[in-house]
Amino acid sequence: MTHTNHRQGSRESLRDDWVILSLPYRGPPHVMEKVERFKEICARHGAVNADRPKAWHIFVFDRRENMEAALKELTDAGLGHSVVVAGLFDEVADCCRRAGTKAHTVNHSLGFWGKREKLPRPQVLEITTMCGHALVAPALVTRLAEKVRDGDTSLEEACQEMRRMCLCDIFNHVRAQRLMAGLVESMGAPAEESGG
Amino acid sequence: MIIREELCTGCLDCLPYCPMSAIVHDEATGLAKIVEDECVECGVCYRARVCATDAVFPQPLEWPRTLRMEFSDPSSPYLSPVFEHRTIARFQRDLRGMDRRRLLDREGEELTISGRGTIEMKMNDVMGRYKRGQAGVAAEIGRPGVGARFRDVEKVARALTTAGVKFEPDNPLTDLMTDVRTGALLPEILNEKVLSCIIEFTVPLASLPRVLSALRDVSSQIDTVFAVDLISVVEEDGSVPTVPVVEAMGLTPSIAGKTNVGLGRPLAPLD
Repeated sequence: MTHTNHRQGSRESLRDDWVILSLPYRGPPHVMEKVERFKEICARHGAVNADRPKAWHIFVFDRRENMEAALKELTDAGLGHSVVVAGLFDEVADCCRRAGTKAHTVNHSLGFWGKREKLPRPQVLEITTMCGHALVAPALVTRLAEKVRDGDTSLEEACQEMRRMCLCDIFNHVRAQRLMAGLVESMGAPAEESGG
Repeated sequence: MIIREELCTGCLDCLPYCPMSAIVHDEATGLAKIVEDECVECGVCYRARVCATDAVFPQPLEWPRTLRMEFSDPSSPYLSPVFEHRTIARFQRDLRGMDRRRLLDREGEELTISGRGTIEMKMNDVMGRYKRGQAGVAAEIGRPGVGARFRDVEKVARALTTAGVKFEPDNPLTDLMTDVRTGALLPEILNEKVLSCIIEFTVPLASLPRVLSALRDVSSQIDTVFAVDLISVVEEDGSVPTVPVVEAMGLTPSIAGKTNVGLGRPLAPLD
């Protein structure tokens, strides 16, 4: 499973996109006690997806400070479970140092190879790749952007609708609002208003 | 997945939800229709509950079409007989016995996302699966969001064997091979289409250029895309030994990705 590994965007764009996940997610009571502690720590430090039950123990943050605070408390708690943080490598390494741990193993993306002309345009790809399983359809992103542009739905509602498709709830709906606003802006006015 | 013609009102609200754009407007009937050969059985259109008349319907699947759901719906258990040995946990057996409609209805804590690769580096601190001097590589065929036929997966697998790759035995794709030495897949599955399929393996760092060159060569011979992952243990000084190797090939590692932050205990030996 590498579904947090190909989130797209510039350094600036990725500064509001951090994920903490932990394994195991099933086990005997003494293991699950630690899992519950992990979940409590992540939720308390402002994970933006802490409002829904989860099949996986995945927490999404829109502020590095919150992710770092959670990482520091997880380090101090000494739960002994493996923890993975997805985000900008150099900033995660800095967070690790300040939290009292260090990067152990990394997984880089080397990008998308092959018939790249089949990919949606970059602005859409930045949104769809936040569901690594690709359950958020490019056509849905475009359709919702049109609805936002036309005043038929709000940015927040549109991004919650995309989030609903993502089974792991790893889709960063807060970052998506910013990306979606840019997409809507790039679309220009509705056809009837622009005379077309 | 099918759309029951007698229930469809032709509102077409379901069309944009399909990751494969396999739901189309049937001009002859004015209704929505799923192009069966393009549908990867991911279940998004069904779970979206966007159809007011409940016309979107999960039909029973038979081998080898079952592979579409297994590789495209992250909540699906392994259903195909070829994965019989993977049904090891009680919850997997329970899921296997569940009819597809109930399976797709599961939500929240009842959902089990089992993935279609391995846990790769997520527990490397305690498992030591990737050692110093090695690189973990994955080619995620069809990702992101383009989809792939197994015939293209086979092309990539065959190309990798020429570079000396040995496939990860715990990856379900290996179960679909008739010969792991050549990367040949079961002939009856080659036209099946999935959202993505992961080829995983570990190679000595010295072999990485040859393997990535093979991937680069085959990338022009397939009708889809693939995402490439590169796993490495971080050195004591914080450097990542795979980075200079791929940069020398003109490749640019991503600025963001996954970091195992070393909190697992006890730590596994890496040498």
